[in-house]
Amino acid sequence: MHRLLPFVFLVLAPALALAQAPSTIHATVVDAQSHPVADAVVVAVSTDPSVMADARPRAESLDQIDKEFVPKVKPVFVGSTVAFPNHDNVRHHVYSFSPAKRFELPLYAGVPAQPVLFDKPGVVVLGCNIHDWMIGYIYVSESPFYAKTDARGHATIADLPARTFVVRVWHPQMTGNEADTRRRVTLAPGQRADLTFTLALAPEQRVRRAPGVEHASHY
Amino acid sequence: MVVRCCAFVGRMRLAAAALAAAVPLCAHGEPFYGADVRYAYDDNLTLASAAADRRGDSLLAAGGYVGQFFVPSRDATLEVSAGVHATGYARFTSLDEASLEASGTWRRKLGLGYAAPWIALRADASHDDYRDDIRDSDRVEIALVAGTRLSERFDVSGGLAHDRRVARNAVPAVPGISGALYDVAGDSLFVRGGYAPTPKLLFEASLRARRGDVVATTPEGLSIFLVSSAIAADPAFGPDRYGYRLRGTTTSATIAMSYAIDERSALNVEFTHASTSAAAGLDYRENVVSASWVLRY
Repeated sequence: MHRLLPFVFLVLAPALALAQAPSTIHATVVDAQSHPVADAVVVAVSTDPSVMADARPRAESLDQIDKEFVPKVKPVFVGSTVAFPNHDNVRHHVYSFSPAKRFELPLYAGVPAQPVLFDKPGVVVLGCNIHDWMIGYIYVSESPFYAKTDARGHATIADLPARTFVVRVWHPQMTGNEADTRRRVTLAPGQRADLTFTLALAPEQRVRRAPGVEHASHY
Repeated sequence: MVVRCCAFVGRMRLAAAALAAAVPLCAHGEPFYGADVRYAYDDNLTLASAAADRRGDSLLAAGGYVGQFFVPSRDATLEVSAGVHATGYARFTSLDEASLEASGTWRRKLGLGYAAPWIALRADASHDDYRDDIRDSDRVEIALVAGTRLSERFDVSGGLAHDRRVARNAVPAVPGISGALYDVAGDSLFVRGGYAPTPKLLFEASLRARRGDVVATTPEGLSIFLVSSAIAADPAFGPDRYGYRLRGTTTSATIAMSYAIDERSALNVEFTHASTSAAAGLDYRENVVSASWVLRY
């Protein structure tokens, strides 16, 4: 029997490793004209709540650079805190009226003393009371498994356990309902699932930053 | 001597106090600069009533400015700037001018968010030097404006303004009547609406009504002479032309389109139609079409 142990180990080890190998969801998001969509948030929610047992909120950061929120879209796990460092020479006054998080960071330069806690899932739209064109989005995900698409419309959610997930997509300009994008996918150990989402997008709505028309007096 | 010394020290203290008060503001100020180039055609530079007396011309203007943007409180901003502008005419070169300008705008939001209504107090001043000395003047315009953004796409504003232009030269043409032709003042009411279908494109429409002095240039005429408060020869438009300062009401309508090249610059086209009813039934119309490029950093 003792002589057989190494043989058993050699046979079972790869199988055990495969069983624990993380899986991946690779999502591609395109618009109705098949152009890649950047800044879309892809969320995978497991049907097995136990996979979230080890998930921990994180301390995140969303900067203000050149009077813009950078990044414009920031997904965070529910319960995370977000700091809002101001890298500009001018003060900002960040606020949100969104039901998921109403808050106000009174006029400040540098880094505010207290980060903001995002303890409710949903979309939080950010603004600055000094610079009306500034707009940013914090997507508070109820799942720790999420990713944001890059300029090529690609997002990868890695290190997923082998489970069944409901995957959905959100984008600031999407005209449809986020819930309507839901897809169910069951991942085998080490499997990579490729999903493509097509979103109908409305034109971007934001206050114009560029200079306008200055009227000359006529008299 | 002692009294003068005390007064001087007092003024210095006041200046030091003002400076000390400004330091916290400056600490959070941000410099900015801008430039613009404008080509325009004005079909009635003389503001004349009779078709034969109207003179139209095209002009090219360019300028630049530097300024500082302050945020004294969560709902107030203060912007001050200074700049230079030069304007050249294709035909009536006596109207060519260079000016030094200063501007200040204090704006306060009445609430939080981009849609909060706001009020603003704006003051513009300039020192204008024309090739034709009779037009040399200093100008001031103070405007009180209120507005609100109805959505990301729509915004409206309106207000009232007082303008004053002080002539630096007076050359009387008629004894007993002022020759300070460009000593003028007026009060205006205005409204403006903007519609931006996309963040790049902006359409604007505005209406303005102004009651005050206007200067029309025509040949000698009895009816205009009788209602003028200042008269001077105006050789810019010919040897037999005279400028007459009258009271009048000008209503003007402007439509404009602005295309944002990027977030710092834009191309604008604009059309203004102005109609003036002056004293003694002297009416005239003026149309100005212009294209401009503006930059703000």
